[in-house]
Amino acid sequence: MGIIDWFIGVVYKSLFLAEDTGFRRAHFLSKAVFILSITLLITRNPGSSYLLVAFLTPLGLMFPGLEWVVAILGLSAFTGLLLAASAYLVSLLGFYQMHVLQILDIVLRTMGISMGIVFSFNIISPIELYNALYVLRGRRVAVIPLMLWKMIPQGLRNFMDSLMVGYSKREIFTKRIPPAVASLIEASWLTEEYCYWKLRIPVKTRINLERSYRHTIILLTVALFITLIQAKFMKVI
Amino acid sequence: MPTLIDVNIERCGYPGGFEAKNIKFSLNKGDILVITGKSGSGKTTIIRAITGTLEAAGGFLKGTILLEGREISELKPDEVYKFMTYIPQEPWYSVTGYSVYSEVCYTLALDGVNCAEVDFTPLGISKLTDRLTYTLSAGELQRVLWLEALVKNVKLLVLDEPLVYLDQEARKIVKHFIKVALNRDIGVIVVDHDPYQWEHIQPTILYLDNGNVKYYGPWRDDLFALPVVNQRRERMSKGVVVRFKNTWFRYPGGRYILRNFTEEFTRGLITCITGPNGSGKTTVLKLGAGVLKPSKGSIERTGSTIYIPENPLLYFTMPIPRDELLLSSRLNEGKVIDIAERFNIKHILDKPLSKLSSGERKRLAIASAYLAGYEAYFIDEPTGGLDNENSRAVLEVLESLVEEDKAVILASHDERVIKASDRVINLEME
Repeated sequence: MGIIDWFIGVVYKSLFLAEDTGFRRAHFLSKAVFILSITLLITRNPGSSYLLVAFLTPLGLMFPGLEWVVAILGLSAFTGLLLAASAYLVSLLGFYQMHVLQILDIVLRTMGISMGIVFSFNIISPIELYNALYVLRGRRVAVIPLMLWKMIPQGLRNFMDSLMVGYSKREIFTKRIPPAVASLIEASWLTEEYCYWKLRIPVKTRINLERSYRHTIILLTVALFITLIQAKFMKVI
Repeated sequence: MPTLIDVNIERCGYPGGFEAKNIKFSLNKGDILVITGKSGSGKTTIIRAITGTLEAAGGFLKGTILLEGREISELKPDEVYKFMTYIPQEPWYSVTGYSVYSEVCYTLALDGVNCAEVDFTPLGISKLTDRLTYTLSAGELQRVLWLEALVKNVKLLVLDEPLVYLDQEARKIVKHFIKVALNRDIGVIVVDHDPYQWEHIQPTILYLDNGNVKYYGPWRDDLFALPVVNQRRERMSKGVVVRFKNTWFRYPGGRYILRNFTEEFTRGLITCITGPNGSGKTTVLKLGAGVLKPSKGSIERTGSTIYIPENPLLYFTMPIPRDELLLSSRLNEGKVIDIAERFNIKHILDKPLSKLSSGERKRLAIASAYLAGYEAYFIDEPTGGLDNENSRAVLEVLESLVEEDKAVILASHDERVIKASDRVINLEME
């Protein structure tokens, strides 16, 4: 298995492993507050964004679970190392001086930011996006989030299957892209045909999403902690 | 009271391509019609015509399709949607939701029904509500679509090859629910290459041949030849090629599909892995071919292996069959022609893959793998959705492989495959 298979595998696990359980069942306002607190930390106090690794690892273990934590740590560390390596290479050209500790800083900050973004993505339920589109009178397009969350992981799985076949055929990965794309195109044609009438009707009601008080309270508590720490850094308190 | 559906097609088909002519039939409430015929006889074209999707698929229709006396093209989309449910052979393409809950609720939301009012317990769906739809087996997906149809209270069910990907247990459930639907006065149209699957209901038959009606009327025992089963010859094992030792496996985020699985696959034999939907048949193939790594335990291989997925499109590297075979044969044109004749694919060598039928794609994939010279072939559902003629052609190709001391390992529910296999491994649900 090559780095491409690994990369697709961790992208799949990081983004599409979650079912509509755990923090997806938290109240949408608590999610908004949580995402706002993360966004403020990243944008107004980027130096402390590495703290998100400490906050989000236990949350991630609760939901979506250990496999998600392993995947996101791998993916974010990979991204962080790439950024740090590029920064270090540029420093070798003499544009600026770079200390070894700064490399670690770049890796940790990237990990925190990536985890924040991906965790936020995971706690948003496509059903909430559907309901938002319904309320905003996008009743003909409300199905789009539901379909995207179905078709993207399906496409990634096809791509992984195609790569696996290529692995036993001893082919380089670039040769496996056309079959994966062809199967995706065929899948979208068939979906269009089989759901022909379904996709031409505006939806008439919202979809209920069961709520979890426990997860709502946890998200709000963590959001409060993040905000307090931020305030401390900014010397507001 | 007008008939449920009244079909009167003068001509329908695709510009410059296949055409079906003079297709006339009707169906009343609580009746069942089975449309049968060989591959290429026009079954799919007729389905597209009666579901009102032929023109969207690039086809044309001259004639009328009346749903309770009203022309389908004059109905609003939600009227057609409410009138019928179409469950295709590949049910995963008719699902729009990412989870079972979102799928069922979205379908009902189109009808203005809040899914809080829906009972998910029939068909065992309540156990599946949180599951992601792309992780469900074909049988589980069909059950979801059945539930939607029952809750929507449709008048007509159109089922394309509904039994192809189902295990025996799931087949019984589908047949039972067809009876439930008929008792509820729902009309049922089934497309199946094997009409004998429906003999017990004695349905009305529409037998198509090359776009024409060969027979339309009540069930008759003398209409169809019984499926010819490839006769299994006595064969001897020629040594182990893949050995599973206490193998465990689970997919990301899932439960263990295989637990402590120990098995040997040998050269010179066709081995068929069968078992309920979701029991891990495809996983065994992928592990055996080396495209998945076991979570625990080991797999030893003493020869080269290849995996051919159920969707052969994922197997190919080149877009044209000739180029695919040339690549596999290391540009040996003579070998390509020889193998194309042997696998009966010479006539499609220059056709794009997108224009090939399922049977042609399957035979091409096996031919390509054969030319590349592997020793063990792990093939998923080699005869899925194929009529008897195409299925026999594929099985003959597989027999020729084992006669050359290759190992052939198949995952299938198909009785024709099971009967033609030297060994059958029945996986139990964990």
